[in-house]
Amino acid sequence: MSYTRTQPAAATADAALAQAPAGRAATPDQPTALAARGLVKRYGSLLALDHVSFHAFEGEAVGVVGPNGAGKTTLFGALAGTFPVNAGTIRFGGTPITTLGARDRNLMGIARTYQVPRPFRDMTLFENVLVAARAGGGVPACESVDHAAEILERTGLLPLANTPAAAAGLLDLKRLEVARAMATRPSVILLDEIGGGLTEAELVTLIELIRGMRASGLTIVWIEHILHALLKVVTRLVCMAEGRVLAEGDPQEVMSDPAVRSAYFGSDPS
Amino acid sequence: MPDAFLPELLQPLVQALVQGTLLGGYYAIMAVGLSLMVGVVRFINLAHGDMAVLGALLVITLTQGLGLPIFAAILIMLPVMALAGYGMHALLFERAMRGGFLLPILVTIGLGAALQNSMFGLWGSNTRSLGADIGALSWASWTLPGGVLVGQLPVLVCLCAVLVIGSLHLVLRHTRLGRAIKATSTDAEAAELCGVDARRARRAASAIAVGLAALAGVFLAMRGQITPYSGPAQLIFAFEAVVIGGLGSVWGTLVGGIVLGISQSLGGLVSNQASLLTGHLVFLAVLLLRLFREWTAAHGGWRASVRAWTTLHRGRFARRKGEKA
Repeated sequence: MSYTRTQPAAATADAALAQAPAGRAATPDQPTALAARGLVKRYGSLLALDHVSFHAFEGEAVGVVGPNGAGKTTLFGALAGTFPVNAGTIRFGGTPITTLGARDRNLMGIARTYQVPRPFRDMTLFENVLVAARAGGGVPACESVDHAAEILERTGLLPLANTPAAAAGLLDLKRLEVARAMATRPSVILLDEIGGGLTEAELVTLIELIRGMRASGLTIVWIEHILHALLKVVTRLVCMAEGRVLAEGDPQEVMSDPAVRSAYFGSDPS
Repeated sequence: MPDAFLPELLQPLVQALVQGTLLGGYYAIMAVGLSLMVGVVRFINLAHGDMAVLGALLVITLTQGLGLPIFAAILIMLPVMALAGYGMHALLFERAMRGGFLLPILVTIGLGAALQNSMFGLWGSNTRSLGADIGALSWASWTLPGGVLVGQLPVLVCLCAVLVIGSLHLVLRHTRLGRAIKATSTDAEAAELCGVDARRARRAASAIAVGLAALAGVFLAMRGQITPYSGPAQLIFAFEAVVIGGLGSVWGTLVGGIVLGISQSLGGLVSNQASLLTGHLVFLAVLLLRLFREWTAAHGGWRASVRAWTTLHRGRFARRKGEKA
């Protein structure tokens, strides 16, 4: 077995580690930046997360894939503290954060972006980033302007700094999501489908940006449908379907797994 | 008073316009806190007017009961009321907001009734005023060319309104707290993810709103008389100013207050009763215009929406014609 197949209830991050495949055998002793065990999230009768365990090592880039409705975004919400989970535990470094709210988790160093951008519409892009820098990044007032400007430059938004968010286009708002998350100076960043709708050239820039983030020591978890972009950055892939982790491990092996193929293409081609 | 500068017929009109504008300053102070609550905190505080009266009664007790100078009394009252606003949000409004959209309305109606009756119990039903405590300021006026009289107190109140609204604008735009309040109002969840303390931002906004209501109450008691039950009427004026000026817009509130003040004083030229009625009618007209514009915007311009409406109701008209025939 070259990846970990998750059984409901039985799955834990430790189990994932114990069964670590050869492809990433070098890492079991590495400290985890973010580890979740047995997460359950119910919406009425729908089980959006069905005992999901997930972990990301410090400085690692993990990709999350899966068909629509697999629970990827719900996983992000649970990790970022947008809503409480019904069961399971989440640890950040060694600290349990399961009961903390989104703000406290952000102050500890977890940032996330939204798949559908949610900017502060009556502010300029610069002010959007400034809010995140001051509140989440704890950047002192005197440095916050430079900090915000630097992040706008890195995300290619500097020419639009004084555009109101309400007037910015979708792609710029997607970049703004990344900029705002970066401005809070996180150690773990959760990116939710930031590549969708970008041209090839823009994707190259985005990949450069994320590689740069990773080079600066950031732990990256990235949900993305554009596999070839994702595979240029991540070293481990987690595939989800119907609220469960279907497979995880080396990207190529995960993608060639029959269960993953069946989840994506409807039926097992073999 | 005939004057070469202003024809005799126009003089009352100009007088009404000037007085209406200045009256609008008072309405704006009253309304800007409400606007902050409705537009930013997304909370409708129906006890807003009663908090204004409470602030005024506190100042009256500090000056007339304890003999403090009025300025000192206001300086003591404002932080007390702001703190009360902060506490009320933390203890009452937050819980009410978790109970859906109806609960805040019920809770604040109840809070208003409780405040009115507590004030009645503590201060009695006598009408009270701060007019005697500000000396000549309450009646002194300047005469403009053309014989237009301008009261000094209304000018002071109006200047104060510009100052208050201007500083609120600057605070919302340029301070960390202000940006946190604005971010929370647009998207509380996203704001929390950016590290903004949404709860604290809402509490702070509530403190500002109640403090400004209390300041407006003091001006109300300086201009005229108040009783423990004066609050609800002031709340209505404040709501009208907020709606005329546009929800949540800080400068719009000043415009809304002035439009309301001018309509009332122009109506007052006809008769005393027409004064308030004109204000309400202008409010209704603006409200209908806003609804109409929203409706046309949703249908792609007013031509298209009229066409859509007639298409939708064509069958009904046809049937009526048929019945007549």
